[in-house]
Amino acid sequence: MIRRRWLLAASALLVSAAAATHAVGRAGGAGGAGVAAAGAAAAERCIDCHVGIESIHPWHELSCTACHGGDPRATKKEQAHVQPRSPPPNDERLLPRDYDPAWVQFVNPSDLRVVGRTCGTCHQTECDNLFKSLHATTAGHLSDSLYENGLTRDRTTRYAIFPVRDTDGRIGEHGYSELSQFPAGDDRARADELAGHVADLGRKSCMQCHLWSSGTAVRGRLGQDGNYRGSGCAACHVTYADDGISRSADPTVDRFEPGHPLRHEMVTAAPTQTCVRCHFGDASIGLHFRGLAQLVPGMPAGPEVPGTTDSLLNGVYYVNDPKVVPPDVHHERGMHCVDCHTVRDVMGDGEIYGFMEHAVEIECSDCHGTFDEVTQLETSRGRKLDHLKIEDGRFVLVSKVDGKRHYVPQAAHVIDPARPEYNPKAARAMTPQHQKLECYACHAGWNVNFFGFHFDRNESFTQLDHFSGKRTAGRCTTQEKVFATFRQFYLGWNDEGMVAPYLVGFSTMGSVHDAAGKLALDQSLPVTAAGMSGMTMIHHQLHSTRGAARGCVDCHRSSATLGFGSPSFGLSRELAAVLDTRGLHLLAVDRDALDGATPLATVPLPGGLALAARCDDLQGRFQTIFVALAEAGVAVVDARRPAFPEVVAFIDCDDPRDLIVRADTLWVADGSGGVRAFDVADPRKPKPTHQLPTKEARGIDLAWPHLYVADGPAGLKVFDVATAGRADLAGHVDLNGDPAFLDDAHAVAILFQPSRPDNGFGERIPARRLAVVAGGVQGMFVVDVTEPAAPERLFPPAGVPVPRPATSSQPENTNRLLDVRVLSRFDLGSPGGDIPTEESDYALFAVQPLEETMTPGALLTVRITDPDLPKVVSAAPAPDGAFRFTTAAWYQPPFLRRYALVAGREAVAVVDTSASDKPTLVGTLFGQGLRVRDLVVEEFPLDRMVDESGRQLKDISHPRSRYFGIDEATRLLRVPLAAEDVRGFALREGG
Amino acid sequence: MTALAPRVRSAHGAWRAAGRVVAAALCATVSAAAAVRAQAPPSSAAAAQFLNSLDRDGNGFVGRDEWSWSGATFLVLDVDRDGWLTGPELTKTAKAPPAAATAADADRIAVAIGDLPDLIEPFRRSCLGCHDQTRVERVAKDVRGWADTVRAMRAKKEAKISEKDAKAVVDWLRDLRDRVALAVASFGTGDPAAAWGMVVGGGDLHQFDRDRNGRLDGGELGRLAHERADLDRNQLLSPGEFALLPLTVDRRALFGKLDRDKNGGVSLKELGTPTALLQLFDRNGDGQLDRVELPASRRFGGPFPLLMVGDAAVALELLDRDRDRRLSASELGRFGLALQRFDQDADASLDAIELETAVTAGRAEGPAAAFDDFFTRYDIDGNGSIGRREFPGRDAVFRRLDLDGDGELTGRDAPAGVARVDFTPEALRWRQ
Repeated sequence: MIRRRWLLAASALLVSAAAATHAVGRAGGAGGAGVAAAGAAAAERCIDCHVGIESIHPWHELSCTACHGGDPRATKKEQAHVQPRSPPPNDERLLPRDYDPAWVQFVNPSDLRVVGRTCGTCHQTECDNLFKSLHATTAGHLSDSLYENGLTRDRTTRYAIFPVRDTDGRIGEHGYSELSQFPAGDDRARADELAGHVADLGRKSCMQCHLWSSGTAVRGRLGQDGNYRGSGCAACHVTYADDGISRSADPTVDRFEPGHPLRHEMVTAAPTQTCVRCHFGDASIGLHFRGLAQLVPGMPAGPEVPGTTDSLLNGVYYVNDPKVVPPDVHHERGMHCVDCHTVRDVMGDGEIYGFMEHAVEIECSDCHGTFDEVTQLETSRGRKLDHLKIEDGRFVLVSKVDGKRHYVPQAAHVIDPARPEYNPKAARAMTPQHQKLECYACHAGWNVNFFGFHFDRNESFTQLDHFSGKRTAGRCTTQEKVFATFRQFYLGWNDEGMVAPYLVGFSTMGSVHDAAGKLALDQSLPVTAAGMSGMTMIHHQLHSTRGAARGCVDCHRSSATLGFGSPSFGLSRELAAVLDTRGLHLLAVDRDALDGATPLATVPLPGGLALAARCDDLQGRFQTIFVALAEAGVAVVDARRPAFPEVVAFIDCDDPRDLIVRADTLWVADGSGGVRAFDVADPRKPKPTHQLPTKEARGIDLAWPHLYVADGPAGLKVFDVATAGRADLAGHVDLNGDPAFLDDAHAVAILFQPSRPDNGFGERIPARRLAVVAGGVQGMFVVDVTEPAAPERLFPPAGVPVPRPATSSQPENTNRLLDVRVLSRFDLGSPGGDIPTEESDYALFAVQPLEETMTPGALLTVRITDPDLPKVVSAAPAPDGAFRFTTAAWYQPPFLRRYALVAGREAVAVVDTSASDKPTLVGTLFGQGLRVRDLVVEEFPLDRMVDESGRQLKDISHPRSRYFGIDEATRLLRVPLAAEDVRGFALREGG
Repeated sequence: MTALAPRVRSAHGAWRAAGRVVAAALCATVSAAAAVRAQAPPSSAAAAQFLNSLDRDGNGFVGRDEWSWSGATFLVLDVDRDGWLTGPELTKTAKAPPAAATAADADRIAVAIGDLPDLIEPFRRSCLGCHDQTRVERVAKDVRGWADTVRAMRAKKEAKISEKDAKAVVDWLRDLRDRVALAVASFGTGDPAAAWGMVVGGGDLHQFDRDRNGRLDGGELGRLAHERADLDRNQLLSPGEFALLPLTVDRRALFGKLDRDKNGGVSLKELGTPTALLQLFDRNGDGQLDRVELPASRRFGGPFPLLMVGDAAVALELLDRDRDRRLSASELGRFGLALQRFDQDADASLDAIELETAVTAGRAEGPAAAFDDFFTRYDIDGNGSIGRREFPGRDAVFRRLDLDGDGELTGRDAPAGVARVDFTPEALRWRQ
């Protein structure tokens, strides 16, 4: 049915296009006559051949040669057309500014190299501004990427595509007087670090979006649908068809060669179709606005796969599922990009800016007003918005592109009980306390985040340097995505002191092969000049605005939203630590051959039960490993030199069972001794900080500001640990719900489920925080702990009997759930589209029968996307038993592979869990015939920006922008919420 | 518990086991208990003073973080199990009247029984700090088995608790609580050494602190070390037993030097003052080990448990004469007690895992061991350094280990102060 409609629509378009072509042909004739009538046109013979060509500038007729040059009196093509001095390159290189001006003008009179003597003769101010605009300099992108990779020592913008200078004598706020040209390629002096290779990446792969270039889609190059565009003014003011084929009435245009404008026409206001010629990569706002998203790595797509585009655009298919990635409400209502964005946003205002937020003047409140007052019909910088009007007492926006009128709701009206637009839910949210939020902090319906972009530079190959036009050593492969999420949501402060959504920045990890093809840098992570990680995030207008805002829980109950990280985006690194009955083994892991590991060292620590590791903030490498020793304490092992680990301290404990380390604090589930915390900022001198009374603490997890304790027979306890030296019991859950018999909680893991755009009925799915408990013989428990003081057991549902605790008469084959991990991830669908690609939440359990000595265990994978109805999707056998496990995610280009490393009776088993429903046993990572107690893998948390001590872990490329501080975050996470705000609260459309 | 099942199959047997438990527990602490019993009954004022001295945050009760001693003691005193010690709890405990010890007092017995599983674990942990591991384990197992059996019998309404058995149980519990309470009450007023010895669980201190000054001086430490290492109780440390001492010096040379009468063993007198041990654990440098240093030393292989140096695989290779990959009692020779200690499955032999446990028990060898391990493993050509071709890991890991970037892993890439130590084959050959 849909296809038939599409065909009908396409047919209608073709008919109308044909009619338009016919009309244009006639008009073109008239236009041609007009051009001929203008000035010296009487002598121009161009129209003799280009008969019927459309008038490019109908507002003021121009002769052909006034723009293109050439000989207007010539009767032969070779004489009429400007011939290049030398054969021009037919590739995407960046031509020098002074490259053959006559020929450049002939090909594209609006090219910035010659625009001063064409468009600029009349539009001088606009052209002058354009040179200094971000669209021409790309200064924002360059500034971000160079700073994040340690190539610039501070956040000052320094570079543009070509040198640019502000000569008008006025340097406004945030403006620069001049910028230099992008620096030369690879830096051999820094060849042993990523910074030495990033500039080359920029020169070869990232220079195709600015106005000096027409991008990758050079004329005649096939397979670039969606990329064809002009350069200079034409990039925006001349429309191209997706396929780059001309529909002009000009009979001389090649109808089979892509790369020609749709017609020989200019538009004053570019439609969205033009903007998205460039705005489809990186942050993808041009995609988001239209309800599209880049594919998850490995995701099947195409005409056979529902929820994806039917044809290739920009060389790829896109996600196109309104339930997952609904379009921006402005696009949905028929608005175009320029209906919001002003000419100064796009073409500059005469200043040289280094960052987009400085260049863009439009704000949501310019049209929608603030909580206190309606729109003043001008931008926040005091410039009049001519297309915003008051008609019949209503605020109306007249589209610059098609003249369509759009009603513009006012924020002040929505929260005014006296107005018909009043929305009580909106009024609860749009309060003075939220004045510091950008509108799109709540109204961004969704966002895509690809954590851990990867590039590969191979010096044994050559590639075109776009600046020099020469092929130089170093082939750069980009756009390798590692982790993907459409759900996780992040916030921080932007440079205006407003809370805004955060997305992954230009940060990339990189691998480099030297001239001999030997791997010289292996998934190295960038480091800024400030000595911080360059795997940054930055505030962003997501352009996925929806009327239905996010609820309170998304921000006020999610530490991940505020930058503390989630369990889903840890990139596994090079080493693993395995604890068996003999002691601690440090192993080098080959991610391409996981059925074995290279032992580096052993620290004899018999009696170990559990491990925790603290990794460094730059590369995610082991720093300190903590080993819980049965009924003794915790040994502190300095693992910075992994071949020579050293026990540097011992922490006295009663009965340590489980450990986690966050920031400078080690949390110990100390059995009947409760939960203890130690300040391990100096691992050689641990200092006690907290002591929490519990019945029998067996497992712990932390989601700031709450510590969750699997308290053995006493169920699940939640403590607020944000206050130094003090812990308050925030909640307690009797897991089996029957006070008559004891719980059997072994381990707990916390997962936050952000809200999602659509529950199938047009309403947002509310966010919530889940605690998943491995309950021994009593099975699995899922508890909604969004409000720890009022937890709600979701699974098993009330009324369903919970298995009784172990007794002497228990069958020995009774399974116990001993350990648990949680994560969110994408499951790839089938190529035919029968199985959809979905982002799901999972809980993984280590399952072991009561009889431990001989029986096999299992790794249970349970989908908890809907925690009320969890579904077991697989049970991978662990022949050697499954007592504890850890998850790992290694990037094995081109895709991320996920694994579970299972502690067995004699070895560590590796289970490939890349397909949730089809886990496969890979082999044995390590084993000496001894019972493995625990294991941990080096990990770099890609979405953890700050830690629980308030320390900033990753840098940020924009001045004055920052992540949340610990006090701010704690205060936000402790804000009391009403019950209706916690469960099921979501503003409806129009709110 | 499973292994004990036959022993406690009947009610009669169970209560006989209980009697043994009580006897063992009492015997184990008889000397300490005697010292405390001689003191005056505890007073509430003493308990209050004790509480105030610990209540650092001044909130009126003592949390687990304010209690730096054994968790067992805390559990015993924390009657309501709320994780806090209050004044009434201390006073009540201290003034607890003798419990009724009759068969009619079933509830009380039930409470006692119910307490046992909880109590036994901290008891076991606490006592392991002072007493022989085998004995404590046996007691712990007996109590667990006994409690389990009694619970099962009660569930079947078959329990027939005699007055004598009930009295034994209650006496045992009461004794434990009383001793802790008395120790608490004597804080600041009574014998500090006795109090600390009881509360901290400082059995070593209590046992070997002959001059009762609260510290172990060199001589006392020597006696402790000698007694702990003298596995066969012949009053002489054989070369093997001598090797159990946590000494980092050349043990062979030291043994030869100390064995002045050349009788093949080091007597207590010959051992003298083990200054090396003192230097290892005497953190404040006063020449003595106090109540803080002594327990701490145990974590690093201090003067407490069996310590063996070396690698189990090498030991097995050297000692396993019949090549059956197991060490029998005869092969272990005079290590009979070691056999008993680590023979976890009671099959009169040590398998590889048990031997591994024995070898590494209590040890944290640190970088020296790791250094040797790493170079022994990968320095295939024996030239003292590991080249890239000798190391099987990824390039990235090799570069990470190669700190000086010279393309070879050498001693320069190890932490400062690390040196090869003579500890594996040599030590074991010498011990053999």
